[in-house]
Amino acid sequence: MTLAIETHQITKLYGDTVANDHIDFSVIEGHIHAVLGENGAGKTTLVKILFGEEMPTEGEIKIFGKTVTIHNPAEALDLSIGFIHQHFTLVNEFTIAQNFALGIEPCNNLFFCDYDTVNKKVKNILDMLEMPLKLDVPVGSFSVEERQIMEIGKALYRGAQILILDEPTSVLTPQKIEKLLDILRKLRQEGKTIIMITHKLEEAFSIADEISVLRKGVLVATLPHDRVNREQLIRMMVGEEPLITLKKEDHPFGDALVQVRNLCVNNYDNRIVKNVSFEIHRGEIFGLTGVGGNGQAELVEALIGMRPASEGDIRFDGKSVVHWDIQKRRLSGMAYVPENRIERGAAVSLSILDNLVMGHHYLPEFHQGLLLKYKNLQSFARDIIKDFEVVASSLEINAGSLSGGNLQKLIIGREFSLNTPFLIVAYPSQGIDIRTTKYVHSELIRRRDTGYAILLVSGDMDEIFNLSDRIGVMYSGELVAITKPEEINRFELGQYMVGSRRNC
Amino acid sequence: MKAPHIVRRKIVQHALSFVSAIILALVIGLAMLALDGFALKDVINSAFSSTFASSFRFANMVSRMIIIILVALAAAIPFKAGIWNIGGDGQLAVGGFLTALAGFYIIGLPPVFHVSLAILAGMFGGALWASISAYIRLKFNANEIVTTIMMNYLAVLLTGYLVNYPFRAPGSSNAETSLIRESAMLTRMLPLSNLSSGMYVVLAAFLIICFIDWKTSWGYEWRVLGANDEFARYGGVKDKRMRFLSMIIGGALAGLAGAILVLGVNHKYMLGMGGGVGFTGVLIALIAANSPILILIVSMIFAILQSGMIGLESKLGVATEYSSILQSVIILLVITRSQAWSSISNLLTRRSLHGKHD
Amino acid sequence: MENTIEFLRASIRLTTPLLMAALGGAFMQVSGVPNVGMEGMMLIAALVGYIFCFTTGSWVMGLFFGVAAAVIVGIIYAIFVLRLKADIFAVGITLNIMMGGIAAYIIRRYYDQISILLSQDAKLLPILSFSFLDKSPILNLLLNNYSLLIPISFLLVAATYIVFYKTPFGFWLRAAGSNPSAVSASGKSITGIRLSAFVISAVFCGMAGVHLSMGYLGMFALSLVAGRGFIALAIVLFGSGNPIIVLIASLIFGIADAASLRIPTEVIPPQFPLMLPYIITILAIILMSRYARSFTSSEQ
Repeated sequence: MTLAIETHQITKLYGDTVANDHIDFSVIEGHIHAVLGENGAGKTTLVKILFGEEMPTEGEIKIFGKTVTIHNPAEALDLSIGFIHQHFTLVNEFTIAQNFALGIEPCNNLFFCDYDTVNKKVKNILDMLEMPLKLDVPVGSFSVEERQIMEIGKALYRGAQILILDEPTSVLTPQKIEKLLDILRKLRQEGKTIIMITHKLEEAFSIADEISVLRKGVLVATLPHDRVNREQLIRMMVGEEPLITLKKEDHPFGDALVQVRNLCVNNYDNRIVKNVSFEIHRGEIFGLTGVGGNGQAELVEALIGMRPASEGDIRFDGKSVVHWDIQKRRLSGMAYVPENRIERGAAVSLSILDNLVMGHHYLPEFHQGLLLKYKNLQSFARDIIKDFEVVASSLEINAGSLSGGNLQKLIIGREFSLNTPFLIVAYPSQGIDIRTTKYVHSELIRRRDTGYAILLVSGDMDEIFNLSDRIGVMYSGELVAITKPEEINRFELGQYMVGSRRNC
Repeated sequence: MKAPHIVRRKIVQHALSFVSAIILALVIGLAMLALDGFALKDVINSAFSSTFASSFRFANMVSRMIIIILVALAAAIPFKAGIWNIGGDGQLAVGGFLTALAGFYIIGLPPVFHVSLAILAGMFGGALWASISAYIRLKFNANEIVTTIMMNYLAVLLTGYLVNYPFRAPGSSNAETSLIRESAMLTRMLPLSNLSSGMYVVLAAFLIICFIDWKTSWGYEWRVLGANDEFARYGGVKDKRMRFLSMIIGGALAGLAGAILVLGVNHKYMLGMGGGVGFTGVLIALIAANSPILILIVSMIFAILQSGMIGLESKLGVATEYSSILQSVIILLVITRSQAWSSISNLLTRRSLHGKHD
Repeated sequence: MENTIEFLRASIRLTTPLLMAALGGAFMQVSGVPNVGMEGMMLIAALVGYIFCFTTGSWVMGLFFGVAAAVIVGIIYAIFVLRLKADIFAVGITLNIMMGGIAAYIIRRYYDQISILLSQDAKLLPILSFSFLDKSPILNLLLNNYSLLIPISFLLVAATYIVFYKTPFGFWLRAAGSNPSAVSASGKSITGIRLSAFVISAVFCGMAGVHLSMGYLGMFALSLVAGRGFIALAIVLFGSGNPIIVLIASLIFGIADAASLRIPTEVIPPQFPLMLPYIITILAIILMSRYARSFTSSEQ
């Protein structure tokens, strides 16, 4: 039994933040090794160090028994380490061969590339991966799954013996996940060593020989897969803190505040949301879920007005709002906690005050004509900071200097304190710690209990089951199911999510 | 709360980096002249004397400064809202031309009304010229850097045609309009100098802009648009409307600069009377768009530089354009100094703040 | 007949400066960084080239030092953008203004001129004449006897096309513009690739500038670039860096330029034909934007 990778006391600091804390991590050659952990546990940092995208602050790395220093990806490639990123590193305009050979093009002479040789090798690799793809079209024309596997092919083309996959299944539907796992098993047979980062327990169980768990930058344990069970793993991932459980009283709903009728949304000529109809009542949390990229984001954007609806109607409080702009919809009683905090939810180069003012500055108590009442705005901002426990030294510091969790609390505080009867909350617990998550969840429940209508968009099963009064599932742009959490189990929900079942 | 302390330190750092960049640029500028065979004593003397030696020269420097302030604001306000306005020269030309027409063709008004009307004509002209680029950008998403520059050339050619043919002053050998009426002329603050009562107009304009910037929702929304336009849109800001507004306000300010050149300095529209001052405005906006006060300070420095160049030109034969080298060096230094400072200050704040990370 | 041929020749002559600069701009554009400093690169190359061609009496020296001056500007530009992470538009515009200042300073200081530099000793770029074209009178009239860089600029279209689409370097350039993470994942340095794009771009813009002073006008004038750097940028954006589209767009400008010079001023005042290239630029950039997204999005 030889070790493909062995790290000794790897530590990585970003300023004062410890991303990796003295990690001793080893991977057996020819095995599949899953690395589990919550967001922010330090998984990605660890593998970035292995691939030379980050340099460790301290510590030592051995690859196949040899002590090495990996300064950049090129050196990692030379050590036969391949990295399959979460985002694609393919050039859409290029063919498969042009992508695989990028940077190491074989040349006939001084200038021109010899893609015939490349294509032969590419074909062998694709055959092995059981992906009969056209070789003469740009890769942009292939599907997401095909491109994901192409990334693996690219690493193999470059002679990778060790493959590192960073959450490879996050963009895939369940069947495609199965297919990907099959391919990984096949690669294991071929003798490749595979490290797979994931936060999905099931995947780790079904494929890995060993499972490592990281928490807060520390390697909690590395165990063979047959010596741990699910509950142990969860405990290792989240620590001793109990899993989130929320008490939610049943109560009668009010009238339907939001009514969506046959809504269609296009992206250029592509129909992303197809004929979606549902309603959300006062006092109800409507949980919208599905595999990422099935139209949830576009549906939300159409509701708030950031994207035009191409067909159908949205009625809010009895009035059709499809032709209203964002400002008018917000003023009539909508608020929105977006999925992308930094791109959409905040202006990180501006002060906390400026970030908190947004949306409120239209309200009569904060302006008189064009004039903004900064005194009122400041005291209001201080209240939010206090009420929502944002850790910030002053209103004047840049929002960008806040940690992810604090920025999320700032955004939630801003949107919640608009006191609108309708709240859209997208992926509220993504990338934040458990304490903040708990806090956000209890805030959501509290508002539901006081009669708000809430649309909760999330991919987190626990969140959806714990919070929702009703659950809607989107698949391929359609709302394929509307159901209640007590009438459905996780397996059935999964079936809806992959489109193998529908109830509406 | 150590907040005010941090904020104050930031301001101090900013000011320090700024001052050191300007000093460094001046040193570089002087060193280059020295290496090129000029006696430093002569350089400094002649630069100083053409700026501060007499009240007349000082007045001319101030007159230059008020124009620079206007074109700097003209570039800075759209810049703040995330849109480039490099068309200050064209907007100034069109505004100046319309002012000259209003100053000549309107007859029989009392001076106050005539001047106001002529100024409004100039602001309208600048705003109109800017609105074309703004419309093209916001309607078609066409790059405004290219279009505003093209509009500069078009403004020169269009007003060039107008002053050469239909509106040429009768009997004049130059391409220029007739002298405006007495009632439209701004009072000179000092006989024969270029400084006119237009400086009060500029002061008022500057204060209004400060007020808009600090106290109103326009200023706030521009700031947010410039920092992250998706966030602004998400928050309900009418992004296109606000950007259009920033551009026509910018155009109006450049037009006002043209109006003051016509009513207070030249008393007619002449081709090229702005002398490319619009680009000076762009340079200032690049480093000072976020703060009107900073614009004021940098405009003053640039005006002093440019006035000093007049002395250098007349006494030593240095081209006045030398000032644009100095100004560019200042900009490049400031752009990079803030980079260096931010990394230094990041290190410092990381060391001194605790408990900020999850 | 003669009129037509003279018109076509003028069109070709006027196409070259834009074509050459725009091809250079294309190198940077496809690697993901728009070249906003072309105006300054052309101006400084035009001046330095002209000075060297009359002080040394050799057009080779003029060409070499003119291009070298542009390359220095390009490297400074690259350092600010790639190394110091300054805004590419801000630095480009600042450098343009700076080059205007430097050019004015030099001709004033050393030649005591305000805006124009003209020397009897100037050794301009040679006129190429090919004897094999003599056989066909029309081809001879149309295609022979151009200043050196004119035929070269058209050859460079083909060369650029081959580099972009057939050579490894071209693939790296395009990958850097299309998906920078593909480049870094393959172990190549994006900064290195873009730096070479800055340099090549500067070489091309330098040749365009040298052509303006040492080929086209036979003198230097502070106003000789006259926005061509930005028109070239518009052409690059219009064709999103594709050399064939760049060629077509440059030809359209060249023809419009030539046409504007031939409209008799008694009929139409000269200002109106002169507006043509600027108006076409605005129209072209509108047209381009309707089909493509804002090019700033290619910046990461």
